[in-house]
Amino acid sequence: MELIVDELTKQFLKTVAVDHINLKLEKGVIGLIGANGSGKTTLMKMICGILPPTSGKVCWNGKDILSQYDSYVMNLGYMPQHLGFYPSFTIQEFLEYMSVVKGLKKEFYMKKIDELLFKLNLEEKRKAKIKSLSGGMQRRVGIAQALLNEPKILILDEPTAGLDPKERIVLRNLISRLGEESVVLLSTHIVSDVESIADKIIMMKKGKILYYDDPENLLNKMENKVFEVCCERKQAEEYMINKIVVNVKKHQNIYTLRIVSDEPIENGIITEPGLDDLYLYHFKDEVLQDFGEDI
Amino acid sequence: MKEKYKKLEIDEDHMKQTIELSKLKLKNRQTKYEESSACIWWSFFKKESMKYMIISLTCSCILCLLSFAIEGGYAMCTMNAALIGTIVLYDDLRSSMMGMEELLMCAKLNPAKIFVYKSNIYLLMALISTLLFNLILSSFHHFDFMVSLFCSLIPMYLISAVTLIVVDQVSNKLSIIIAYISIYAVIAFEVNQKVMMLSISNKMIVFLLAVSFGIYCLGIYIHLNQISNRKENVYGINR
Repeated sequence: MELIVDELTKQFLKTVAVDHINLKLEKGVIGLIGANGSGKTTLMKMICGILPPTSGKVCWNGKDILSQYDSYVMNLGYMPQHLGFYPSFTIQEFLEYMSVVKGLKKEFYMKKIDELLFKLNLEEKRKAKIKSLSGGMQRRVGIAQALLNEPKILILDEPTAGLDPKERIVLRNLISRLGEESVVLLSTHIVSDVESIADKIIMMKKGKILYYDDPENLLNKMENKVFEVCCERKQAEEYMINKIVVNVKKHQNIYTLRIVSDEPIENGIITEPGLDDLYLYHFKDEVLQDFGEDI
Repeated sequence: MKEKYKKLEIDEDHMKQTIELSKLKLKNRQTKYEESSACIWWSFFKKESMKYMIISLTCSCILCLLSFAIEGGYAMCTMNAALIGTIVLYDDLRSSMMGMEELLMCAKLNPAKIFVYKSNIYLLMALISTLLFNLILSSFHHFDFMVSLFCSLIPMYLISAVTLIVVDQVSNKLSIIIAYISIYAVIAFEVNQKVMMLSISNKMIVFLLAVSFGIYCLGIYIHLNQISNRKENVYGINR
């Protein structure tokens, strides 16, 4: 059971959103991280077959997905980034509707819906209309519809966006369990969401793959590059301008900074790296762009 | 790291209940899919369009009551057809406006197949409500059944056919719905004024009905081709 992405490219006019990507996705949770516009969603849509690649192909069990699309979608579960549901449907109605559209048998999907509503803590909201749900709940409904057909390939685009901490924990546990039986590809901005559950991590930047490796191996790349330093305000400000500062903590008049740097920091203590450090190391420009001059 | 995380977060009771529920899973994956398309069709019809059928029949009754209060029952036939058409058109456009298409493209019943189902349901609803409307009106007024068909089904087929052909060409879907209702309003007004003055034979009405139905079918065919072309572009020509 493997999904192979072969030289996949997508070009929108002059913009190359995904640039000759090669991947081999196997059973397990694969986290896809990258800044806005790095091509995550485009890649996911092409893997789902809903966006035509400019060149390249996606193969499932050795065959091009386009040549076996009907059987491919039976194994596919997809939750898009922007969810579009019929607002007047209740959760139960929506899931039944999606089950019918997926061609599932009634005796199968009625049990499956019960199971998913329980797993995703939506049981009490079964009869609630979708328009009355919070953003987090709507996202959980999106995940439920993706799981209806027990997919072997599960593509989740920003599944944790808008979820509160408890919901995120429940979802992370669920995804972790699903990864034992399926290929689960999930994209997120929140590095901590994948850090703890991903078997592999793909880091994308400007349509290309920067890294595709185990989290441990990725963190090894950051060894001796993360420092913790205590200093006064003036020095802290200087570091914030000239260095990649991941975290700032103030206690009385002393600032404790977590800095990512290729060169040693004066009085800095080398600390254990995290994926946040790796992310910021590669996406400093994008983060600065997002926050403007506030940083 | 993963094991450590799991140990911290897993709720034992929740896990036990989940395992119990997981036992309900069917062993053979193939058995979970419906093989008969008739079963899918019926389930889809129940889920999707029963409520529209009920809405349109309710509206038919309300329009009938209105027609007793004001003159121009034939115009009410047109308005009824307009109402059904607008509901279905709105429903069809809304799914693409909301982004349901992305979900549906990954499903067994893709948007093209769903459209065929909806068109059939559309037709069925129109026929039932028009017949009901005629039945009620003709029992109270001196209503001509054929004229009322002329006033309801013929405009509905023609306007729907044009709408189906242009629906994918216009990016602002709301403008289509507004145009759709406006055309019906004009026709209803004209019908109210002139239908009694027209002397059209029943044969002519049947002929016009057949022609307009043909145009409607042509509209469906063109619309489906547009959807298929879009799908082909999406999935690639080697599909």
